[in-house]
Amino acid sequence: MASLLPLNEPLGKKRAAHLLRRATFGPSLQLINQFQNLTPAQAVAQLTVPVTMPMPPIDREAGIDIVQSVRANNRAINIQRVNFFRSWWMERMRFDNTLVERMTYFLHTHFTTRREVVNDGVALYFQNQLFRYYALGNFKDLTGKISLDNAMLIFLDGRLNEVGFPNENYGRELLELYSIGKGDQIGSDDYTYYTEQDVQEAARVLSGYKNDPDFAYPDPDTGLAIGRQSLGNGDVANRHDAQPKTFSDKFGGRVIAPPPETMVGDRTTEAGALDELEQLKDMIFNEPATAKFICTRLYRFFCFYEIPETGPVQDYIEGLTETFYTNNYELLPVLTQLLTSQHFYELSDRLDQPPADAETDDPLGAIIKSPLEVVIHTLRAFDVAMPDEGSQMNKFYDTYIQLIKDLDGQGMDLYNPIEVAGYPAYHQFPGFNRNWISAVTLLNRYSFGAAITDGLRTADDDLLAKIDAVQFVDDHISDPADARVVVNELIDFMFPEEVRDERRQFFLIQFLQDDDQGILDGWTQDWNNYKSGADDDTTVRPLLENLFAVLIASPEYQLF
Amino acid sequence: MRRRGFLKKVPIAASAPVLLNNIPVNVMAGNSHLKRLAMMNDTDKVIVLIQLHGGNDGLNTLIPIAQYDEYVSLRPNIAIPSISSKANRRAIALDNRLDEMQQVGLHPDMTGVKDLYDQGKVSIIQSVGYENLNQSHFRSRDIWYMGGGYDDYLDSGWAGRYLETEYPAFPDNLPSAEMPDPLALEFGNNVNLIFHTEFGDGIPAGFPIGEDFAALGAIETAFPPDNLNDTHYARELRYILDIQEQANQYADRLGQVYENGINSGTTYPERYPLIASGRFSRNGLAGQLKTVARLLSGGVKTRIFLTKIFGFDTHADQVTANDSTMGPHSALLYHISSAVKAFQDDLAALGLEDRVLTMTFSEFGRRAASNGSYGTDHGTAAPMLVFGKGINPGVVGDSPDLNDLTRGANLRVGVDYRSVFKEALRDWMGASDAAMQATLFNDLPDLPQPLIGGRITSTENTFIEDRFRLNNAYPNPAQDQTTISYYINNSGHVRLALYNTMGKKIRDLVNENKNFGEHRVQVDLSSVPAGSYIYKIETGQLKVAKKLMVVN
Repeated sequence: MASLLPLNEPLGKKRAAHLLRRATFGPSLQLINQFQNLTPAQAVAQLTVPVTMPMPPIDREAGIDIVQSVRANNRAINIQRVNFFRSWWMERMRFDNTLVERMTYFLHTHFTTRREVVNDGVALYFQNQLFRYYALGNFKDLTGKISLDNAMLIFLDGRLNEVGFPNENYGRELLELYSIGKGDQIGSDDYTYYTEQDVQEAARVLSGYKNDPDFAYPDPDTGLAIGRQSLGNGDVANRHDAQPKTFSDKFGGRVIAPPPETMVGDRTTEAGALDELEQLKDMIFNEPATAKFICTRLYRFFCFYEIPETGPVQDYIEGLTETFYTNNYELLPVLTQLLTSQHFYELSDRLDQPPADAETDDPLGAIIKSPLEVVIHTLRAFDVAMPDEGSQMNKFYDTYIQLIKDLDGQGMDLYNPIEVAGYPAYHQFPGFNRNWISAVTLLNRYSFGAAITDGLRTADDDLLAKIDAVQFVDDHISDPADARVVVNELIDFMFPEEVRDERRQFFLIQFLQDDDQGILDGWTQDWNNYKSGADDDTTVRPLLENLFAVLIASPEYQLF
Repeated sequence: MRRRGFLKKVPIAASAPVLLNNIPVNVMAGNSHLKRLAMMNDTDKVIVLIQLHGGNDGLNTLIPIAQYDEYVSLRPNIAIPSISSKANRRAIALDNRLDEMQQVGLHPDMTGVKDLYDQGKVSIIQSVGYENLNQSHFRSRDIWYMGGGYDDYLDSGWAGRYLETEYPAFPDNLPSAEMPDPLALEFGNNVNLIFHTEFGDGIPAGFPIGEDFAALGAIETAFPPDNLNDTHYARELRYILDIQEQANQYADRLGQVYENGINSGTTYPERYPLIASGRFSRNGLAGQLKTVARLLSGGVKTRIFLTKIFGFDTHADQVTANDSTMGPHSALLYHISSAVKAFQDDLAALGLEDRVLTMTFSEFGRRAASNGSYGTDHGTAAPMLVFGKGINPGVVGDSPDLNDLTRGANLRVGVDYRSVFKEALRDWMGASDAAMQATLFNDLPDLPQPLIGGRITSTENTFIEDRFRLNNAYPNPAQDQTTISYYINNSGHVRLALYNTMGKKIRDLVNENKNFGEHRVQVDLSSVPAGSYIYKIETGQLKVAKKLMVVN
């Protein structure tokens, strides 16, 4: 159990679907078919091919991209620009068949930023691109870059953190949430891996950076706009605290200071300040606890939230940690190891092979979908035709803005988690992903089934997007004239795990209102009439749409 | 790490989210308040929790008067003008009768709290926290929810443990005729750790409230096949099914209760009347409290309500640069103060005031010193405000000692938060011994003075009469002259006049601004004919009339 060793055999349909659900925003049937004959190593190689960075979102009003278009100091316009970005991002998720968008989302859940505070679509866009740039890259480098990210400098007040006027907001979260993580509190101001002193000293290291409201300063490594030190005369970092910072014995009492040659009086240069940031990174990432904290988050994101104190899952995470640490925090090796490991594929169809031990760690199908996963999986699974981002820009934005509202109803304000720790699903013990589910959010999740099968529409009732249930069944079901086959194949595609026979019966009755032979034969007749052109789709369409809606509005579909 | 230890099934105690604001108002005639009051016992008592999300700045909520200079030097860029300042907006003197170290000024936007205080409906507990207060939002919040100390890691919350012990029918045999409603209700989408139970088979004692609420359909066939029974998949699926079942059980009932309920004519605040940035302008708390009042008037049996107000993590721009009494924190304090005032007035008008105890809490206070961004970083101890007719009014504990900060330049904790919740459950809710045992609060000390008053009316009277009173005239009956004295706790305009028994004013005795304290008026009666007269005082909330006999 919980083996890190690679699985070296073709995936087959069930494991291919599992991999694709976890590593992309959900598979189409075609994608599952493509992947089923690959080994995990081959499959992951395909999922990690380099991709090109997408172009920025287009400002619908100006017709040019939002980085170029003029910003306004107007709340409504700012919200609209944030929506351009959010729509654009969801389209990337829908479109991408690699691990990149999954990891971009993961990094957003980790390095949280709230759009309501930042209120600038361009800043969010650049932050999001930064996640994408490092999605399969070096996590340590990303941590340095995010410390200079414009949206982050706004969100956690880094821009206000100055020599003599420290603001600890970002420094604290850098340690607690973004890198080494908070351990048990073992004394006054002592959190196992760092102390309150370290929070204060980290804040001093990070002092003096300002966001750049014009996004005119590209990072030399990524080309993406970042913030930089406030500069006075002669390149002096005049708001940066250049005096030595002494960390606690958690970090060996390490002292961080600018290189002496960068000192100009009691100040340093921007290079000196950036050198201190490098030292801070080295100090934090030198601790294996940092690798373990990030690997624990990866485990929760890709496998399951529950991690027993001891036992095989702990050993498994230790193994990932070692890989991550020895590869100097490169994400690709550790992700490849995780997604090809035997443990990741431990399946729970036990009818033929009952497990040796009763309590299993099998991760299959055990994660409750986020609203984002409910929505994007659905769009991808059923080949929902979306308006074109370029040629149908207005419809494109109308559609996604509706979907963003749907997400909100399901408990997810996209890019605006309720607090700096991020969406509770990814950190809030004891329930983690269960936090997505309540009587209210469940109702709105279930309602989405009917909404997307009926079709999303504008206020003027123009159709924006919908599942074409008839087309889908015609294209993908092996024998659409057989109602049982329709129901069974949809269940097998949509749900991660087996269901009881009564459950199949239940959906069959939902589909045709009854399940006696006469009714089943009637469906065959109706379908054949539709196919032969003897009838249009007025009989079969509502029945199929209702079936799709109830399948989406099922507890099983909430899991992946 | 223990907190990530293998989880027991996490029971959701009784709070669940339901959305009710859209449900049309249907005022039911002939409500049964009086009948309910007559039958009132402990199970009619409820607690309404107000969570101040993000860590409230206690020092700008309650400005220390005795150490005002120290206060200003710690936070010159955000200090609220003192009660004696000439500024238009300045701290409001809370209570001149308190000991010097207890004297505080309320933030100028907290007039609602001041009014309630003068009515004897507020208890302020200073310096609440716990030992080694953790300055992580998330960990500290979890500690407040779970009802533990800094090194405890529990999978259940104190309210969940209390409720599941007090209602052993939970979860299998609820709802029932006696308890048709969720044991707790929580605003928002989620069910908080505070309502997670120890033994509830994965079901929390809480239920979330939103704006729509509907049954979610039959669940019978959805249980996983037997061969999957011991998988994570099956466990998560059953969790969803449990929530679905709970929703089905409570959907109709709560909708009905809400429709049967009413609010009185009280106006709840909607926006901050002064300038605040968009995010802070709307009063997010008032609607929640209004819904609670309405559900109570509709007969809901729920025992604990959790309401929330967000935005207290004021690292930057807590106040505006040019006016420390303006900005997001002011708006938030206004929201709390005005919403609670409206709620309390509504409850009084609905005849429900004797049943409700309302308490604020926040994961921590903020640093004693401000930072350079017109804000405050994470801190430690902070006050809790408790409202209701049932409390022992006044201030518990001194203002935090600004000359005795911790090593991290933080305020010292004086009262463990568990002592406050302990007294609320034991003395207000009438929790059984077993339930008190389950809270894990029993070993904590009691507060220095009881949170809950004895007999409601007598306590209230003493408190108010100590602060606002019109004394008996002496001599009375009087011949040529008498002396009338009164005591006021707030400086302000006083009108004292003599009337005949027909209500006609004979003479103004006082009609001017007076400082707080005891005042005496010598009244010359030589020109007043013998007979019965009335002397009446009007100042702030004090409106009292007494009889004076004049003889020849």
